[in-house]
This record gives sequence, C-alpha cells and structure tokens, in this order.
Amino acid sequence: MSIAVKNLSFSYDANQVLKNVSFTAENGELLSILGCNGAGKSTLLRCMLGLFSAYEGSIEVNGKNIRSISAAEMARQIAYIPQSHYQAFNYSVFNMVLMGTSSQVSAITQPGNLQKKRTEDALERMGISHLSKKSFAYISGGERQLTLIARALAQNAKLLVLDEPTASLDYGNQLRVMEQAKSLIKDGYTVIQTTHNPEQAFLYSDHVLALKNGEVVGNGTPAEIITAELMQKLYNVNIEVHSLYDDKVRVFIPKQVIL
Amino acid sequence: MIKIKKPISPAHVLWLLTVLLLLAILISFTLGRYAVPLKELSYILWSKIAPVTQFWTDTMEKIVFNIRLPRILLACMVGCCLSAAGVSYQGVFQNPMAAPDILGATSGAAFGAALGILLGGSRRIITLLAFAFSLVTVGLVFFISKRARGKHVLTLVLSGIMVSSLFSAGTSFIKLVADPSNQLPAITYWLMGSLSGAKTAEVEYICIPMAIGLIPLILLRWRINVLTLGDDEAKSIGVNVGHIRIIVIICATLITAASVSVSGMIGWVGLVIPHLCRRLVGNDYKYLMPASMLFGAVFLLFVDNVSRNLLATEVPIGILTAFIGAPFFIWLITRRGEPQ
Repeated sequence: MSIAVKNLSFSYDANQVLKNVSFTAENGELLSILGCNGAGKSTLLRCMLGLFSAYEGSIEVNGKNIRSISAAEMARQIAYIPQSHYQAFNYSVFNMVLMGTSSQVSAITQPGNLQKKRTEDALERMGISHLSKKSFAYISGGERQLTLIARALAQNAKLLVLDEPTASLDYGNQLRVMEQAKSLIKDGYTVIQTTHNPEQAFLYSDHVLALKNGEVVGNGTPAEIITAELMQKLYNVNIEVHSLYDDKVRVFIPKQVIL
Repeated sequence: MIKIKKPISPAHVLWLLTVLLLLAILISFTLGRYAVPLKELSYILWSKIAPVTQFWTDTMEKIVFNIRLPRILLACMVGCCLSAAGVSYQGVFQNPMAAPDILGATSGAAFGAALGILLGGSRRIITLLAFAFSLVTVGLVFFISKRARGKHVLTLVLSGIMVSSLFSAGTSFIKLVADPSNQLPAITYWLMGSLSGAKTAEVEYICIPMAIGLIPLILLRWRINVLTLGDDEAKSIGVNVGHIRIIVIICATLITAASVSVSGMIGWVGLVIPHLCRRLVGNDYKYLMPASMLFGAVFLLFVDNVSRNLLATEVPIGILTAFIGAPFFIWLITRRGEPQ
C-alpha cells in the first residue's frame, strides 16, 4: 500500500495553506510529518483522506487517483485515526470499533458476524479486548487512542493516517501507542502520522516529511531530516542535538537552558 | 473506570416495551365514559377472528371499533413518530437537544391549521393545510440553508429557528384577525394539541406518510450511529454522510408533519422519550430507534388516556405532555448516575 502526493496545493479562500507539496509514502513504512502549528499538516491529512477535494495536484493510492475512488472504496484503502475528542453520544468500546466495519455492509443492514469477528480481532490485536464492554468516554486517553486504531484495523484498510496520535497522552501511553504503530508496520500496514515531537519521530519513523508554511522543507530519512539546522528552521527555536547509542536516539536540548 | 451497567439487555427491553404496548392498547379500549369491561372487550375483539355468540350491546362494539380503535391507533402512531423523529434529528445533528420541531415542521403545521380554521375549512382541509405548510416550511429552511455560508448543519439549524419564528408570527397574526367568538378558540385549542378528532378514515390516510417515513429510519439506524461521530470520521469510515443525513432528515420531517397535522402541537415527546430510551438501552441506534418508537407509542397512549378521562371535558394532550415531560426531564438530567 503506497500513497503518492504530487504537486498538491490547497487554499482556504485567499490563504494558501499548501504549496506544491510532493512526497511518496511507500508500502510498510512509518512516515512522520513534522511542522509547527499552522504549517498545513492537518490540511494535508484531510486532502489525503478525501475530505477536501478543492485542491490542485493529484493524490494517488496504489497508483489510482483518489478522485476516481468511491467513499466506500476509499475506506477499504485508508483509515483515519483522529485525535480522540468530545462526542455528542457515548458508545461502548466494542461498538466504536464495530462502526469501522460500516462500509463492509450495505446502508440498510447491521454489521453481521463477520464484522463482529473482525472487531474482536482488532481489539485483540491492540490488546484491549478486556475493554470491549466499557464505555468509550470513561477509558483513559491512551486506551481511547488504541480503540480508534482498532477501529481502523476493523475497517480493513492497510494505510493508516493518524492525526497527532500521542498529543494528549502521558509519557507511558505515548510509548505504548508508538510501539503499537511500529508493530503494525511489521504486519504490512503503512502508517502516516503527524507529530509535534521530533525526538519521537526520530525514534520510530522510517521516513520524515518537514512542512513549513505549507511547503516541504525536508523529505528523507530521520537521520537526514531531524537535524539541529532543520529543526531550528522549522520551529524557530535555538536548540542543540545530541546523538546517543550510535545515533539510534537523538536528544534535543534548548540552548537557553545550558547557556 | 465505569462499566456501562444495564440491569437488562437492550433486546429484552425491546420485548418488554412490546408487551407493555400491547397491554396498554388493551387497557385503553376499556377506558372511557362508556364502560367496556375487559371480558366484553376480549370477546368483541375475538369475534373478529372467530365466530362468537354476541352477548354485548351493539353500542359497545361501535364504540370499540369506531371511536376507541382509531384514537388508540392515532395516539400510538403520533407518539411513535414524534419520538422517532426526535431521536433521528439528535443523531444526524449530533445534538442531544434536537427535537422534532428543530427545522420548523411544527410551526409550519400550526400556521397551516390556523389558516385552515380562518378560511372556515373542514377538518380534512385543516389537516391537509397543516401537512402542506409543514413541508413548505422545511423546504424553505433547506432552500435558505443551501444559500447560506458556513457549516451546513449549523446553517440548517439556524434557518430552522428563523423560519420557525416567521411562521409563528404568521400564526399570531391569523389569531389577531380571527373571529374571537369561534375561530380564535378553535385555533387556540388546535395549538394545544389533541387527538380527539380521530376518525378511522383519517387514521388510515395519515398512516401512509408515517410508514413511508418510519421504514427508512428503522433500516438506516446503524448508519445514524456512524453519523454521530461527526462528518470527517463518518466519511473516512466510508459512509456517504450527505446522502444518509438528507434521507434521515426528509423521513423525520415527513413523520413530524404527518403527526402534527392530525394532532396539533404536542411537545416534549420527541425530546424526553429518546433520552429516557438512551438511559434504558444506551446510544446504539440498533436498539435505540425501535425502543424510542415503542416507548413513544406507549407514552402518548398513556397520556391520551389521562387526557380523555381526567376531567369531564377533555384536557388538551399538549398541556399534559408538557406537565409530565418537563418535570420528568428535570429528573432525568439531575439524576445521579452515568451521563450518556
């Protein structure tokens, strides 16, 4: 499963948010998209998910332009894992995940045994089977994020798009969610995430895309992109980068702390 | 962590409600100024299936079939429709406070009925005008919201409020110019809501749009679940949000218009019953939709029985639903326990 974005531009009225963005996410890689607030990350995700269509350029999933793919077909290719947020009505974890299977049945039928089996498998895969009957609003943020990932798995799509999956999680849950994302890569999934944490992106990604003011300023391996120069440019901060354990880890230190 | 605790499973609640509805229907036949004891009633009903020697009076049979049956059916249908419309609007607008009159269907119907009374129309004309204006109002709301800028769901609700108030003003104006000795009381009485005019012919007639609206809502109920997640998530799950929402809104509007055109303004049912059902079976529309329909029918039948038996003269049902609905809703939202 691969996705290719070519010369993508998008504007809200007169305000151009994305300028000529091009990149490819190959099968089985974890791509992290970095950029400061307002850099156009969310807009980019929305275009890729087919939620926005008023863009210029093209987006291809497995070589097929997404404009020519129906909503139900799209759902079988790409799954969206939003940041968990307030919902008007509360459902059990099982039903939340089961909703992911909706495109597999016609509009006038209920999900059947096959969909329920897929839901159970997805919960099992994320290690949250024990939460099945619990209420989605009353589990922890990390568990909610895992539930939403399970929903994407039940959806049966191989390309997962995560919008800041670790943004509101405590440190332990951040690691658990990223470990799960990494393990999905081994199962043949392709994962694209936006993140505000370059250290984490370095630790877990295969590929990094850096956006600034809607333009690509870096596209390559974590080692090439997550450098002091580029991060300073990206976030307008003065930092020092230290490489540890044969460059398996990079640590960022704000300069004003050590001066 | 709190588990979703339910003493009985949602499927069992549906069975219980069905039994409750059948019992309520049976008991409603016996209630009224002309006494029809349960024994006679059972035989009268049974005589339609198998031959029985008649030991009851002809009047009794006439009352059962020509007066009580249409009224009971109408109460059940209107209760079912208002409640189903409320729960559907809540889902597609992702708004727990949405009620059947959110898009102006009720105020349009009120205007149509008031106009019919002013023009001296028969009851059938009044019903027809109420139904027509109800649909015109919602059509107008759609037309305006299509042209408005901003989020479609929000503009839809806002234009609903605006058009509603416009038609309410129209109704007020009709009341102002109506003949105060007979037309004005008729309009006022209609606005308070009542099922007293139920005739067999009318019930059969209004059941058609009700069925047309209710069946898709039952069929699409799983999709309504997905719509409550919000547009982006529902779309990325592969649901055609625009189509489903439009179909649900049209169906909910149709059953609301059909209900208010025969019953007048009956408030609260569409808000209170869905919320009570959310407590009973949870938010899953697979169970919530049928539960709301059944409970709505039971509730309005119960209230209508009070309405026609409480005092010597009939108490308008709209007054009673508000008297029962409002305190009940306060109890519901202040009750300790898991918020839904």
